[in-house]
Amino acid sequence: MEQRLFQTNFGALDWGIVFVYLALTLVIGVVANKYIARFSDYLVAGRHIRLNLLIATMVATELGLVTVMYNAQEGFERGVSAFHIGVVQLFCYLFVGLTGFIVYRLRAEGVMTIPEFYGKRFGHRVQWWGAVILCISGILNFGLFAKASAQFLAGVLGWGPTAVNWLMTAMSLFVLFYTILGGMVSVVLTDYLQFVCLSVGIGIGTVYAINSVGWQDIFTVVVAERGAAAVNPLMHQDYGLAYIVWMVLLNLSAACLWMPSVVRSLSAKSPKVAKKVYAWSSVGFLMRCVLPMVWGVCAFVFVTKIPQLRYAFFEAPEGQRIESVMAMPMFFARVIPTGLLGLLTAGMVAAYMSTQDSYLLSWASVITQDIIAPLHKRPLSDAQRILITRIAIAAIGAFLIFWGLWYPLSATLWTYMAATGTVYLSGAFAVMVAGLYWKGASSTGALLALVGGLFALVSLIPEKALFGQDVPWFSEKNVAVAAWVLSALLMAVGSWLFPERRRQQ
Amino acid sequence: MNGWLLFWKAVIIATVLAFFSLAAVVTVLGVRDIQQLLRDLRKEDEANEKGLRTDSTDSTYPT
Repeated sequence: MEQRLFQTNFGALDWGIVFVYLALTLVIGVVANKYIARFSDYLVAGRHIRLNLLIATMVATELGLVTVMYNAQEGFERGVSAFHIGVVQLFCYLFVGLTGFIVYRLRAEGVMTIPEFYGKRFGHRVQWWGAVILCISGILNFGLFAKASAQFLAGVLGWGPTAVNWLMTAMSLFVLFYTILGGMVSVVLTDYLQFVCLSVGIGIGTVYAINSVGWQDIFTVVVAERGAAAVNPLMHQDYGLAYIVWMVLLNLSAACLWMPSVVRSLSAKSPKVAKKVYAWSSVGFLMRCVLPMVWGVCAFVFVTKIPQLRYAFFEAPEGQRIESVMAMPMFFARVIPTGLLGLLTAGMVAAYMSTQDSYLLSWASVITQDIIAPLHKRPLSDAQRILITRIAIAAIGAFLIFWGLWYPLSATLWTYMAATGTVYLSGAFAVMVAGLYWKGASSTGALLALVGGLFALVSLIPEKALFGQDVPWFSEKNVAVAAWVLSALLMAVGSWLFPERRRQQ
Repeated sequence: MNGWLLFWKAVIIATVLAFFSLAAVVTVLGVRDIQQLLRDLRKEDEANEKGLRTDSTDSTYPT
C-alpha cells in the first residue's frame, strides 16, 4: 500500500499536546490512589458521586474511541440512514431515565453488579452462570476496542496500517497501569478530564468535517453515489424494520444492563439520581452516534472527490483496499491543521482511555464479585477483593492485546459489537425484567433464558459455513431478534413448568 | 426522500446544539461535584480511622 496515501498535518506541537494530556492523566491516577480505603471506594467510589460528575463519566465512558470509529464506519458505508441508530439510542435512554425502568429498582437493591442481583433473586447457581455468560459476551465485545482505537491513531499520525499492532499494545499497557492503580476514583476523576477534552475534540472534528466538504454535499453526494437508501433506513438492504427492532431491543437492554453503563447508576447517590443520569445522558448517546456518523459521511464525500483515495477505498482489487474504518482518521489527518489536530487526537485518546478503564474495571469486578468470590467458603476481605480485581484487570488486558492482534474481523465493527452484546443482553433482559417485575419468575426459567441468549453466537458464524450458500433470512438482525424472543419464551415457560419450591410450599 | 433529508438535517443541527450545551453545563458544574466527592471520601476515611463507620455495602455479597 502506498505510504503517500497516509498524508497528515500532525506535527511536533500536536505531539506536545497529547503528551501533556497523558502526563496529567497519570498524575490523577496516582493522586486518586490515596483515596482508596475500601473495596466499594475502589469499585463504585464509595457511592458518593453526584449528578453532573455522573453524566460526565457516563458520556465519557460510552463515547469511546471505538464508538467514534464504528459509528464513523457506519456513516461511511451506509450514509445518512445510519443516523437512525442514534435516534433509537436517544429514545431508549430517555425512556429509562423518565420511567426508571429496571435501573431504579436495581439501585434500590444496593447491589454492586448485575449477577449479584441474580444471586439475591434467583440463588447462587444463576448468579455464577449469569456472571460467566456476561464475561464471555462482555470481554469478546471489548476485544476489538484497542485495535479500532489504534487504527484511528495510525490514520491520524500518517503511519498506516503497519503501525496498528504496536500502537494498540502501547495504549493498552498505559490504561492498564492507571486503572490497576486507582480503581473507580481514578476512573471518575480522569473521566471528567476526558469529558472536557473529548468535548473540545468533537467540536473541532465536527466543524472541520462539515466545513471541508460543504453542508449541502453531505447529502447530495451521498444520494448521488448510494441512492435513496442512503437517507432512508427502511429502504436500506442492511437495515430495514427487523434491524430497527433489533436496535430498540439492544439499546433498551444495554441502557439497563450493560455493566459499564449500569455501574454508573449503581454508583449514584440515590435511585432518583440514577434516573436523572439516564435522562440527561440520553443526549450524549444521540451525539455519540450522530456526530461520528457525520464525520464518516463527510469522509465518504471527501474520498469520492479524490481519485487516488477513491481507488484505494473502492476500486482497488479485493484484499488491497484500505479498510473503511480508516477513512475518517485519514480524512481528519488531511483537513485539520497542526495544533488543532493535536487537540482532536488528545480528545480521542481521552475517549479511548475513559472507555477502556471503565470496561476493564466493570468486567474485572464481575469476575471478582460473581465468579471468584462464590468459590470461596469464607467471605473475602476488602484487601483480597482489591487484589483479585487488579489481577483480573491485568488478565483481561493481556487477553485484549492477544485478541486484537490475532482475531480477523470479517463483519463491520458495529455488527460485531451488536452481535457479541446480544449474546448477554438478550438473556439478561428477560431475567432482569422477570426478576424485578414478576413474582412467579423462577431460577430454572432464569437459567434457561440466560442460556437462550447464547443462540445469538450463531450470528457470528458466516452463512456459507453453516449452509454452504448465502441465505437471506439468516442475517445477524433476524438471528438477534430471534435470540430475544427465545430467551423471553424460555424465561416464561421455565418459570411456569419449574416454579420455586419455596413458593410451592 | 425530501422528508428524510429534512429530518436528518434537523437531527444534525439539534444534536450539535444539544451536545455543546450539555458539555458546557457539565464541565462547569462537574468541578463542584469533584470537590464534594473528595471531601466525602476524606470524611469517611477519618470516621473509619476513629472506628465510627458502619458500612454494610461490602459485606452484602453472599458466600
